[in-house]
Amino acid sequence: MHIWAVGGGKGGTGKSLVANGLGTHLAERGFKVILVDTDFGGPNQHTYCGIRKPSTSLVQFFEDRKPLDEILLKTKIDGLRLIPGNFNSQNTDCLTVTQKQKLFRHIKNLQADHVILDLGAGTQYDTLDTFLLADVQVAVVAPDALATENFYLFLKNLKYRQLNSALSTLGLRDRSRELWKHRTEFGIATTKDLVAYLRALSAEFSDLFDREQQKLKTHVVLNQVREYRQTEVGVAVTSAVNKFFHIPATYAGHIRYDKDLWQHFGQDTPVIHQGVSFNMRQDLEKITESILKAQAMEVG
Amino acid sequence: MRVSDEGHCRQCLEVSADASMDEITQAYHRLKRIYQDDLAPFSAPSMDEFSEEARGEVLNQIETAYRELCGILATTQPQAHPAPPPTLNASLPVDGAALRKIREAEGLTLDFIAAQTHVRQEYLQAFEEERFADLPHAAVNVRGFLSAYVAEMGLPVDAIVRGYMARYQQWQARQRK
Ligand SMILES: Nc1ncnc2c1ncn2[C@@H]1O[C@H](COP(=O)(O)OP(=O)(O)O)[C@@H](O)[C@H]1O
Ligand SMILES: [Mg+2]
Repeated sequence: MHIWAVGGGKGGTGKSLVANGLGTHLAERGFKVILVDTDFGGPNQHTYCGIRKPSTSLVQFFEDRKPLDEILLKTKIDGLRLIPGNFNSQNTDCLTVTQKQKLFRHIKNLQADHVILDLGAGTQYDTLDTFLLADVQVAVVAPDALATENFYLFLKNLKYRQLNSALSTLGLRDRSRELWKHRTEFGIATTKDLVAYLRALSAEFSDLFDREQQKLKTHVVLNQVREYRQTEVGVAVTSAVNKFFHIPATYAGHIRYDKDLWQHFGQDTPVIHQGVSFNMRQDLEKITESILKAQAMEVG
Repeated sequence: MRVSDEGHCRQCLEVSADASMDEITQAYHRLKRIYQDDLAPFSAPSMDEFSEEARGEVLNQIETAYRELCGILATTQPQAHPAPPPTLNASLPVDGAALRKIREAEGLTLDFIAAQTHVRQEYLQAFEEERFADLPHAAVNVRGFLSAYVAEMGLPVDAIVRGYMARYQQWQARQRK
């Protein structure tokens, strides 16, 4: 089974749309797919799926200890099922580490070919950790300065998260804080310098951090393209992620803006399905295929 | 030794292991265009990562990688003419033939566009072949239909329609003589 996570920082860039499009296309290709709405602050994957009033939700998993199997809902697309997010419940956007780990453990035991996690906005630890846990990491950006800025920040925070988790594992967290606090004494100016210093200090850290970093490898999707020339932004952002943030990134492609999309919400049919918005379906298909190819997950 | 150098250079220029010299040259120009422009839409000037020094360093790496690849490949492939930098703006389609090329590259058929835009397929075809005589008689319809077609493909309507209509009006003027 492959776990996919769709993230990217800014709200409204189209993470949920992309998660849904990936799931829809994979299911139409014959895979068994489960979408999980892990946007604890603002779940709406069910609306993309055309389920207006979900009869179950993750609340039942967290509060009533129901197994995930029992809160799976069918969609009108064969092979595509949904675990709806947390709603009608308070304070569910702050899960404890234990709760979070329990959810991941159970997700890993789901019976499916692909599980797709629709992440929330922002750079909360929850969101970052979930992204890092996935085998297939998809980051969505839109061609404007607001979206790109938050997108880079999201990726940068993923790196920090990896650094901190390596430090914590080895009990080096306080040491590192001290170093940073008195950095001028140690000739440290940037995080890069700090990492170099820590690497020299501990071979164990060096190894562990390398291993952590191998877990981050992202596919970039550019959404809401209104003009042809904006497509270059996708290539440029991907290049910058590689060259400035040193995170291996491949460009999966772009999705055109569909001015009629809003009209398909709030009905009993999936938003992305046969006959609706041809361009968008075509773009989402191309992206899914491109990611499958990059991951070498093609099936014969 | 050489192979790993070449691999490293290709990685720097973001091209695959089997990309041709032409493709490498195109990638080189594209990357230069991306990193030279401080106001590039992908840039995040608020972040240290995008500092002038960082961009300068990347530009140096790109330059070095390109020179090295030219050297390495000159011995195995005939030296290619450097292709002109394919800027998207300059390569933006303005005539019917280019519109058709883009449409086909997107895998869109004329009858699909016709169904989406409610513009008759004969007109769409006349647009692509620039058969102005076969377009609707009122210029306002020509403009409207063309805009719908261009917008459907997600292309910049203003620029393309302006250029196209200029040619159409020249043709009209010639007809009147
Ligand atoms: N390519 C697109 N064309 C038209 N509308 C879009 C497109 N992508 C996203 N939207 C709209 O933008 C809004 C935010 O999208 P959503 O997928 O919920 O983003 P996120 O999950 O990142 O917050 C939604 O109203 C959605 O319909
Ligand atoms: Mg969302």
